[in-house]
Amino acid sequence: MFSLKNQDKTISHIGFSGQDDVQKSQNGDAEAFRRLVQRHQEHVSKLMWRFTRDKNSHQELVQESFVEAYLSLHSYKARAPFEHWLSRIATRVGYRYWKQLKRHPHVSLQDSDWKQITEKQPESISPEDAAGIVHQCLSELPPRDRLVLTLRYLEQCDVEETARRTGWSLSLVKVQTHRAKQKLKKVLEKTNIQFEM
Amino acid sequence: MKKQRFENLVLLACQESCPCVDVTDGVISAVSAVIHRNAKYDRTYTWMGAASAAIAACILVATTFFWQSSTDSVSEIMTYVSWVTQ
Repeated sequence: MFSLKNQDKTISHIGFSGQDDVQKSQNGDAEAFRRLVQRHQEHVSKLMWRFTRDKNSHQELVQESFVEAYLSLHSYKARAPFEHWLSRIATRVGYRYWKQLKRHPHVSLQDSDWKQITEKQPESISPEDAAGIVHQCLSELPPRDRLVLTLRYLEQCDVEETARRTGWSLSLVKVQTHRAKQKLKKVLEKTNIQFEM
Repeated sequence: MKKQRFENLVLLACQESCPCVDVTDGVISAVSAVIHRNAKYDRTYTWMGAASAAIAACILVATTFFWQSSTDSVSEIMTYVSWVTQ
């Protein structure tokens, strides 16, 4: 028992924690899946907070990510850490949520609203305010552009990781990033936020 | 008003802590609902399959019966015709 615990700690260190629970979940063990949810919900919650800042929608998206993960569990081959696989699913859920939002008429912010958002002095901005401003700026972009910039900036993913998360090719990620930056620059022209490409 | 750099805002935004959520019970009940629904569909399909198999078996028995009776009458006629020609 002791050696198993130690082994689990080692595995956890390299990012393959709960591999046993993954296998048990694949065989239909609900308790094992409950443990997986408990272990990974903080990570997924953090990621989904990039997609919405509404607490109800956020909770729904986190839940939806895990339900979708459960339904796709048979396709998990353990070649990569479970957390990476889960991140890809959560990213897909978040992206779908944005696309659904875009189907409804989108009300773009007026110039006065932009000034109100960005009128604070840089020194007095808290991380929450900054995240709110960045979220608002990115929400002006189409979902694809918003996704690539959210992953590159807020999730701090490199090109390879962005490609893995989105399922796009490396060249597509590079092109999409460039286009999205151009669009963001246009959006930020009406604010007092500087943006260098 | 001082200008802000987007990159600085992003760096600051990355330090934000997200709200804590506990979705464990919600996920388990949603997953159970999905499993229950799938099992219900499976049961329906099983019943439909069984009913189809039963109907197919009945049709097979009836077809065999009619085929046998029809071939019997034909062979009877053929025997009669051959007797008459002789």
